[in-house]
Amino acid sequence: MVKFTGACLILISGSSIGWILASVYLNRERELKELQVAFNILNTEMSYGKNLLADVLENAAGVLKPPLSSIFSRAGEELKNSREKSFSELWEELVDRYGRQSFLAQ
Amino acid sequence: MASSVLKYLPVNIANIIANLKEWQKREVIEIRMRVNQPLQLISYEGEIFPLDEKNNPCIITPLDLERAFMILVKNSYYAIERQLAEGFLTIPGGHRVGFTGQAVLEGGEIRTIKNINSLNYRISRQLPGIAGGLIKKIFDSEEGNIYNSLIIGPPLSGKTTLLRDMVRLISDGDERYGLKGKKVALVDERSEIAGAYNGIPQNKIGKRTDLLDNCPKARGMLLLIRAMSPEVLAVDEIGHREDVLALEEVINAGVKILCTIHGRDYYSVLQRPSLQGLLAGKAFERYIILSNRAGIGTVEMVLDASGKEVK
Repeated sequence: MVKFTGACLILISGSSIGWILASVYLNRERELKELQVAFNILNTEMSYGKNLLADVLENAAGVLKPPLSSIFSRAGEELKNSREKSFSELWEELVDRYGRQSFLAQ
Repeated sequence: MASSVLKYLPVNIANIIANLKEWQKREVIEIRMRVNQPLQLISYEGEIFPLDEKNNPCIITPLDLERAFMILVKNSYYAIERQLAEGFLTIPGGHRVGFTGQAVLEGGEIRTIKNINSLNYRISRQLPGIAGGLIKKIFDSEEGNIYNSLIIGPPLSGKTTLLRDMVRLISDGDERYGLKGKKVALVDERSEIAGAYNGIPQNKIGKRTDLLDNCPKARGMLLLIRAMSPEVLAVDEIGHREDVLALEEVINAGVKILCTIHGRDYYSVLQRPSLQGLLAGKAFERYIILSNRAGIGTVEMVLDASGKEVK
């Protein structure tokens, strides 16, 4: 009985660890797909729509889930209000702040 | 209005300018930033080179210039590539920012300007009422018509400011002069007169004025006489042959004209080859000669079609 219970526990815990690891990979894939869509939106709205970068970033944030959406929406917001930072400085800062929470950084 | 310009400058530069007494007294007309050179301001009294907190000249770094330019283009250089080829941008308030850098050519035409090395913020000031003293000389009170008028003056003599106020006055009308408001059409190729931002006038141009913004003058004039049936048509800085041909069309259509031209005086304009047809036909009934001898907007004299002074 003890052996059987032990075997079950090993099986359950092994499966759980597997599921947890798999979910990280699945979420990475999901985030990569979302980013691809977001960058396509950026490309289209910039190349064809000639819309302002701040508006384009906010629109692209709509197809993303947190924390990646926060990078885009905050970048758009801060671009409209900040005069002290360039876009590249702002982007690096936000990727550093929110990117760590994403599955891609795990 | 002028304080809105500071929002389009990097914070460190804006703070230095905001603290200057000339800025606070609203005397500054131009802010010039050149890479690796001191910040320069032009006021009614002359030029100013502001000092920083350590009493050194405020040198414009490449980063200052890049930040200023990115603020102006809202970090969206790609979106206004065509406007960049014209060498200036208009910001809210009707202020114009000119710039120079490296021209990118395509088929012999300037496609855009990159690596910006110099910015010039020209501060637009409205001076409502300045045309009041002149209106009697350009208005035929018996016929109730405006005379076809040409404002002549060198750069920074207040031609555009005067034209803007004439447009406002003629459009609104003024009982003191027996002037009834007229339908005025305005072609504002460089958004300097109406100071339009996204097509909406930021300056006072009168309640009967129809504005065609950011449109080449010659095409704009012809479009307006067909589309808006104006009584008076106003346009800034004529000089090209196609402008003159369009003006002839306008005059032949029975529309009165108000325009400006760069020139030192009446005689320098008489020698302009492109204007010969108009001048020979005595198309202009009044010449308003401006200078900056006693400050910007000095009216030297008003002449009639034959060059005699109108008293």
